[in-house]
Amino acid sequence: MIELTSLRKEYGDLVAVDGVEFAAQAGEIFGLLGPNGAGKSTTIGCISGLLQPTAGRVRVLGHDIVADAVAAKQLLGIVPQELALYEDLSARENLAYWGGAYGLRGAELRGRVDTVLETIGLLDRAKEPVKKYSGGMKRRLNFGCGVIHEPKVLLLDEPTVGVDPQSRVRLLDLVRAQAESGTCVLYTTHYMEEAQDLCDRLAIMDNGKIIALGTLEELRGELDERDLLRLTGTFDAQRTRAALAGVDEAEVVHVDETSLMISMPDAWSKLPAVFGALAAADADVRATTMTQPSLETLFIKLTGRELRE
Amino acid sequence: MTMLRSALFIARKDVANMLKQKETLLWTFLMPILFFFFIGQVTGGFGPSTDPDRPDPIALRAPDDGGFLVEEIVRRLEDENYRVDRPETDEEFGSYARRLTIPEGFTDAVLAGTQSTITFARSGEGTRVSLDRVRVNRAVYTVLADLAVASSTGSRPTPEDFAKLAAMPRALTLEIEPAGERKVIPTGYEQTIPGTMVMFTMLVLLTSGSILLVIERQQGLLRRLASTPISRGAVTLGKWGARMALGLIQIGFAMLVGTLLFGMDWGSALPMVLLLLFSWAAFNASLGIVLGNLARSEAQMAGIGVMTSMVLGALGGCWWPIEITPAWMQQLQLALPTGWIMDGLHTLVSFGQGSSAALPHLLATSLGAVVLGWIGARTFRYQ
Ligand SMILES: Nc1ncnc2c1ncn2[C@@H]1O[C@H](COP(=O)(O)OP(=O)(O)O)[C@@H](O)[C@H]1O
Ligand SMILES: [Mg+2]
Repeated sequence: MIELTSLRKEYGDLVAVDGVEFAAQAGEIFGLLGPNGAGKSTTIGCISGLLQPTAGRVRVLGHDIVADAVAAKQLLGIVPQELALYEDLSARENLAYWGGAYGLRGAELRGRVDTVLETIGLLDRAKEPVKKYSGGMKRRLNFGCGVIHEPKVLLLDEPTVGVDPQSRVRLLDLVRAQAESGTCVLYTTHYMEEAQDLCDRLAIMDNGKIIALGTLEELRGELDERDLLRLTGTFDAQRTRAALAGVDEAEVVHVDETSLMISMPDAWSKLPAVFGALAAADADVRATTMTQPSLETLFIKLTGRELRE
Repeated sequence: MTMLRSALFIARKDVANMLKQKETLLWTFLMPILFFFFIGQVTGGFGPSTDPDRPDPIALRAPDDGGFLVEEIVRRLEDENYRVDRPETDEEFGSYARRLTIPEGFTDAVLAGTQSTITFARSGEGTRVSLDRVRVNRAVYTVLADLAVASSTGSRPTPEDFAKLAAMPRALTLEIEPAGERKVIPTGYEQTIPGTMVMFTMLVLLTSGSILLVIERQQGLLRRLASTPISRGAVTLGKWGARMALGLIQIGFAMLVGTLLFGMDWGSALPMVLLLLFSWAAFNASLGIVLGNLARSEAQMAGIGVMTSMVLGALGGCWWPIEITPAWMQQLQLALPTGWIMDGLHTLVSFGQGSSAALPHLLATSLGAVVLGWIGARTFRYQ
């Protein structure tokens, strides 16, 4: 359905997207997970034709987004990260506007507007200007405008940022419904839980590069069932590393003066050994948390950084 | 074909969006009419100089030996729609707002080539005063112009020469001496209606028109539009067309109200007047896009729009008849787009010249519209 090959986007010296490659299929929710600044929006921008890639290609059902823009764009729907709605217009008028922009007219357009209003649950308030809506309603309308023309590929760029939990659940249901009806969904987020719950397949992105790609199970497999131990306090990096080398299967992911991260299988039973080693290295531990394998621990393992920095 | 269809779609939606704003409605429809009325009233409704039933009184003090040139001047003053009185006493003379004094032996002195000075005094101040100065000057200069023509034969001019000249078709005088051209400076409604219309068209297109573009960009609406199959060219063309349409709606409305409510007479070259105003709408639609591309915020755009239209309106002759301002201002006017239009409109509407007289104005404005339109399309940005 959608295929990216060696996609690259530079802003001057900054490489925002660096050789990104993946393909997503019909009916699939493909997640792009990464921290702020990873290059998710830039990738979406290149796919949607808003940004001109520096190199590489994007194809939507075989249509190149640059060379065959009109055909490719007609198949794409986009739900942008920031709300993009006419505040003075009603939900109905907004939907009619974006539907019209994709060439829908007359009875066909009216039919689609009604269907979408029903789907996003705004039928009873369809005539009010958008500025009177709650944040959640605006989000749903923002989503509705992206699917008004029944796109084959739907791009969603962090659609749940700043959305209350209830609206978020509704929005995610809408996304799932789209995939079930056969749409190929490309979903970016920096919320690990969301990616875990929603996506069939995932690419983890950092600094413009994809650092891991696969189904949730495949990605979890890369962690070898390792737990992540996070400690704060005062540490001497060198002595800490040396001391922990003696603890069975402990791998120091990150250490600086105030924090330490250790990846190890079955961390719970090895806690005494870890604390013993740290005491010997004159480390002063103030707090400890242990996390079981997850996308977050995978991200930390791959980058040495927290996802939500 | 798809491009035009898409552009039309964008234009239609844009016009609807602009007309949804209360400010746009206010400045497009209501304010111009109020300005027509108030400014038009203040500056004298349909012109003090153009109401032949009520000529303006002017007091003349001329010596008995003034000669026949005094009578010529009186005749020209009457052509300028003055009622020339000759009060007996100083007291009575002083009670007139307009007072003209001609020195002793005037005709003899002039014909002998010695300098003599006519004094014009006018109490009060304002547009009317400047206008009087222009009208009296014109009366005197046309006498001098005819004098120059009459003396070109070499012999001493006589009253008969002047009578002959006066009987000649005016076109002849026109060719010989520019001072012979009879212009009645538009004042009152005749100045205010075109002036207000021209300025407010610019104001609305550079504020409402451009601000919408800035808002659409700020709120990511243009970015979203970029992901639809509508091409960049169609988007810019549509945006331009919407502003053009708003401008034409405004001009059409102003002309209609001007004609029906204020009895404005648009002269005999109406098609050219319409063409000129059409090019004016196009010019501002283009300029609106260019400025909308440059502006970083709504507030900044509002500032730019108001400043530009006010300053260009004032310097271009929208506020007052440019003909009463100093020469340098009249020169400056011709360097400004508002000036092209106002000068063109005056030429057609007030000075009753044929369509071709406003051709340079039309060409300049149209060329401006095309060049700015091209720049606007080149600099158009989605984000
Ligand atoms: N228009 C731009 N000009 C320069 N740098 C940009 C621009 N847009 C994004 N960037 C940079 O590109 C990188 C990726 O940004 P973005 O794609 O927005 O990340 P994400 O959506 O994952 O948070 C960031 O470092 C950002 O600062
Ligand atoms: Mg982003």
